[in-house]
Amino acid sequence: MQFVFKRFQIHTMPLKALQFEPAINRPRINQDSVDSHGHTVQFYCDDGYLLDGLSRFIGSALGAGEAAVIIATQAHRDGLAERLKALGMDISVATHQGRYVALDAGETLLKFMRDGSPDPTLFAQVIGKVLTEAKGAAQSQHARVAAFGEMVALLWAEGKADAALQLEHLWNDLAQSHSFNLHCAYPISGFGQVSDADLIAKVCAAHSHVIPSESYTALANEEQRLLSIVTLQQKAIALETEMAAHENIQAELIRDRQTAQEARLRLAAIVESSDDAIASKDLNGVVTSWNGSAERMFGYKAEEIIGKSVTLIIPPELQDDEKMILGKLRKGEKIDHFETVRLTKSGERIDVSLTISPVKDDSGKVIGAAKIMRNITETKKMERALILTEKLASVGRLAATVAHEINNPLESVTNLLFLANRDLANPPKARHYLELANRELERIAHIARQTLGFYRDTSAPAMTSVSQMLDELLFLYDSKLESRSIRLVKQYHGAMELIALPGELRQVFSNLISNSVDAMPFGGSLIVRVSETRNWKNFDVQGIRITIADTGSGIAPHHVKRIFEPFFTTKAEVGTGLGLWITRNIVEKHEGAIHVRSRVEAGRSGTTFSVFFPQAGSQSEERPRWERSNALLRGSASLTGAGAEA
Amino acid sequence: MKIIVVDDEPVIADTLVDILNGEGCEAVAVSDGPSAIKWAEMIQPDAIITDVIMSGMNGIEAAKAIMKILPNCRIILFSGQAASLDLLEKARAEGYEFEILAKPINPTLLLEILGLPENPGSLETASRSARTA
Repeated sequence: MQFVFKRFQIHTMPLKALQFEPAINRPRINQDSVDSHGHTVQFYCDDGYLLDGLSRFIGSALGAGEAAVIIATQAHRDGLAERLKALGMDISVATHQGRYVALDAGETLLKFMRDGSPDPTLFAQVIGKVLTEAKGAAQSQHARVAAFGEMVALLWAEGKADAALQLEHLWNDLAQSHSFNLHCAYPISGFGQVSDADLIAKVCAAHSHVIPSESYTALANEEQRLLSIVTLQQKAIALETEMAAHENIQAELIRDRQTAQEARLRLAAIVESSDDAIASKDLNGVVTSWNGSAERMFGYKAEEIIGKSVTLIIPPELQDDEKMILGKLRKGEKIDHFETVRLTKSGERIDVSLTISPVKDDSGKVIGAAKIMRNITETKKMERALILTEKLASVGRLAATVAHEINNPLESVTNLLFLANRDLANPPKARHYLELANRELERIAHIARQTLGFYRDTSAPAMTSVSQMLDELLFLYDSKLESRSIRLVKQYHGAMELIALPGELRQVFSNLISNSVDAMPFGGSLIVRVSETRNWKNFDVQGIRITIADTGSGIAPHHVKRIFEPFFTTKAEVGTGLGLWITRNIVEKHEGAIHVRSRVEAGRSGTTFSVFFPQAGSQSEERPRWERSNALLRGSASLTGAGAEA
Repeated sequence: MKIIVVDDEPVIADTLVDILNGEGCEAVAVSDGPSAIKWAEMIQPDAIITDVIMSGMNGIEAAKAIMKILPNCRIILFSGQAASLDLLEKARAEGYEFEILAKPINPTLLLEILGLPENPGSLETASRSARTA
């Protein structure tokens, strides 16, 4: 006899009258293999639904005088007892009679589980005994035992699918020797995986009857159930389609991830093998990556410096660099080939060229920076060596020219002294030789002063009033200007003070004024103008411009290009050709600029020299290094002198 | 002894001529290479003393031209600057050997080199002999 639930009738019919018959919609699986007993499996969603059905199964068995064995969880045992009581059954009496045996599923399992599997002998002993005793207590001689077992569900929930199936087969084996109707229950939620399809088939195969969960069995009639099947079939098809699409996406994702990974590895290899140090930092200046070259260049291992501030490699006096760099980066600006000094772990200073680019996230927000650092210490060394060589070469050229300029008059002096000595008996003649010798010596002295003296001016720079200095100089020229009837025009605008070497500044003005005076042997105008202004080439630089203009003969165009060369002169009789060369050197030393404009056309001829001195300027060597760095960062050209303007 | 002195500095050329004439030479001063060649053809000098670096034709070019005309003429170069050495090196590579003196040269020494033995020694000797002359 097989038990099924006929839920439609349960409330209207007395327990004894309940008839159990196979429902038309209940699929029968392996019916032939399980024929000596009923072994039903029920899947369920809701505990309440399970217990309702179970109470009818057990209730009708007890009502028929048969015995019941319940091996379940505490909650299910309690729930069942409550429902049986509600159905009007006195289970305490049945328990007393031994017809109602309720055992804990977990405790019972422990009695026959060995090494994670149910032991067949122990199982037969333990469960066989329970069944035999229950059957003995039954009122009817031929009655079978109605059993409910949840041990398989427990094993299943623990992930021991194999043990659960073994246990199901042990129950079937036990049916050879014992007569019982076993009802097993699994929550359908335990089969939520695609991979559970095989297992649920195996579980079903181990039973003689399979009852689907309540979403199917609770349906009122055949028509609804068929509709449900169609709905489920459609769901299954849709799910399969969905799964296929999902698999495609999954495969695509894996491919993308591999491609991305490969690209990342390739990039990482490039960064790692680069000769330049490559590092990254966040907007707080904290180092976030550090390649092999950076390790070699600075001596810090990646793990030592990542997470620390990048200021670790910035010399103390250049710490302000970082603020500026971060400021520029926050604005999204790039820094290109910024030459500065960095500190290695051992404290050594190295010259580096920095290129720093902002790193942005997907939304374009700057989140950090990538920096490439090239060690240019060797290049810098070579540059300095080259500059020194160049300096030596120019000194050599100067020496050669000076040698010529001095050796020639020396030759004359030597000869003249020889002649004077020879003609001592003829005093007027001897005096003539000595006078000539004296003139040649003056020439030598002048050249020596102009060339050698220039390099020895080591007085300290001082605040110098340009207008006052010009006034003093012009006073010296007063009589000369008057005798040549040169009209002097002074145009001073504003406070005119400079930090400069006064001796050198005086030499500049003196050279320009005397050139102007020489250019006007027959009169004209000398205009001396002083004004506060800005550098023509770089408006950031404020300073003073001194303009000395004359209405003299002018300089021929092909000569203008050469006037700043040493020993170039158009006044062979009186000039050394060093005045303007020295003037330009002094102006450059003060980081200023000198310009000349000249016309030779009769009636409008004249020459204008314009000298610019920066007011904050002093020699670049004396300028704090960070200040020069600032200037570089601003892209300023203010530090270059007048080299291109000569 | 007939000597031509070539220098673009008139003071040098004139004083040297004065000194040489004082020793009984027939010296003339010229201020450039082409004039030197012209005068050499005319007076057939025994020696030529020439500056090296001069505008136009330099001293070495003039000397080479004069050697062709007067193979026996003694040629003495004198110069105040290192650049002359480069020119001299170039001439040597072409097979020319010249005597060269550095400016300033002591006139007494120059006379000695020219083999004017009646005026040896110091300035005093030179002036004494000049007075006696």
